[in-house]
Amino acid sequence: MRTPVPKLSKKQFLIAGAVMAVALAAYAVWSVWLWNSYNSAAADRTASAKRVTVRAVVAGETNASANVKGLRAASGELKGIENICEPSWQIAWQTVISSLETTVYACKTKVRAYTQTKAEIDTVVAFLNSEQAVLGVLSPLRNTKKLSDKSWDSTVLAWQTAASDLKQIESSAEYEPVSSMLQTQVNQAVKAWQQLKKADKSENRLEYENAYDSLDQAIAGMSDAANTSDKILQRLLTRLDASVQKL
Amino acid sequence: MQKRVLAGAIVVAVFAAMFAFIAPQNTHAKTLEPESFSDLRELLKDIKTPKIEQPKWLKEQIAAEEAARLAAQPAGARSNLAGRIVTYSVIQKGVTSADFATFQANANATMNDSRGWARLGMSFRQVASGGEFVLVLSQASLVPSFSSACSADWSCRVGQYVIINQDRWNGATTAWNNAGGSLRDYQHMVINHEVGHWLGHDHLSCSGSGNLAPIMLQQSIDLQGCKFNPWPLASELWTTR
Repeated sequence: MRTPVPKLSKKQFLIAGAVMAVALAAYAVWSVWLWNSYNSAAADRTASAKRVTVRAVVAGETNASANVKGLRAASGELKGIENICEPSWQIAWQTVISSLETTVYACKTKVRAYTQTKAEIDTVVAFLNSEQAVLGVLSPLRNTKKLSDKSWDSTVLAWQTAASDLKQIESSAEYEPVSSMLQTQVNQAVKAWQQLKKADKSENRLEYENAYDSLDQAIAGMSDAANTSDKILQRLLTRLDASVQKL
Repeated sequence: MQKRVLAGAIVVAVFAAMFAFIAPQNTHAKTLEPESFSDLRELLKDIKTPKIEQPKWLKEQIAAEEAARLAAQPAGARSNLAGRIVTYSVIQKGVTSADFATFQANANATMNDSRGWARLGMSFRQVASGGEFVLVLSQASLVPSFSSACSADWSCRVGQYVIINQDRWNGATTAWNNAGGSLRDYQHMVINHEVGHWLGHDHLSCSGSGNLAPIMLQQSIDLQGCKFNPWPLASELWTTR
């Protein structure tokens, strides 16, 4: 004998339907709130990132170090920005709805410009970090005082130290040509100093004067590295500028 | 049934509510300059070749050289001709393939170069005709026509004529070329050498192996162990003119 299936009364059916409708409505309201939050969080984050980036890129500070610091801050601000386009798990399935899928796609497309800008900023920062390391090595070579063969040992040592320290610096790929040029010139200067000391010891005027000329040429040649550095940096900054304009 | 349809419509309507993004405003960043971010150029301005006081031995050598130079100068020789202008004219002799205008311009540039006889304080000015000497661009075979002491292989100076062999002007010498010397440097050398004769200098020998050749050494013929040098040495800076 079959067990009869309990039948809902009309009243019970209406109550169950109403409860379901209320639950669905509550979920719908919550979903709307979550999507609102998603959109406003994305808008806030990109607006803030853009503000920091544009300010850094305009380079309004009075010195180079401060401007570099601004770029580093912009890179930090842009770190992980791509994550803002992932909706929370509670509503992620709703991207089956094409308009919501479009919303997420639009977010990702927008954020792509920011990740590209971050990559450009990081390249510039890596270049300038390499330069700051090089500046630290070369700073002791600044000189104003007149030397003599009795007092030049500390200057010669400073050049030798600079040559050795330059070799240790790990430059970014873009900075490598500049670093290489500076190493060549500093090494030539060290060689010229050695020749000068040797000529002084042997009291050979011709070799002394040739060595001094070599030293002069080696030091003058360092300015070519500044020209190369400016050219490369200009190229990187132009790329950065172009990416910022797409934000 | 109607209530079921109404509940479904509410759900759909809620899901259909969308929020628009505010469109971002484009901000044009100003053109970026390397000097806003880089201090390398500023630093390199402060790294200069140090001034080094001449060591005692060098001062003594220079003084001794100066004394020897003065002792070697003939009577009446002068080494400071500030403001003196030497005039000269330029002619061609025979058939020459060298560009005459370039020859004139280059010869004048050599004479007035700050590394050359201009260190005596004098300057050289080309005039249309006459002048204190005549610079000649000569067909090689016609160089001996100025004097039997002149050779068709080399340049020469006879009286007021400073004669440049056009084959040498165009091609230097084998020895010069093999040593890696440039044609322009050879042209400097030959002009300075022949004008040096006009200024009162005789030929000199090499002072020592590896030293720079004096301009009055016959560098086209035999370097005698010296290094090629297109300019007068300090010890040669005098004239009897």
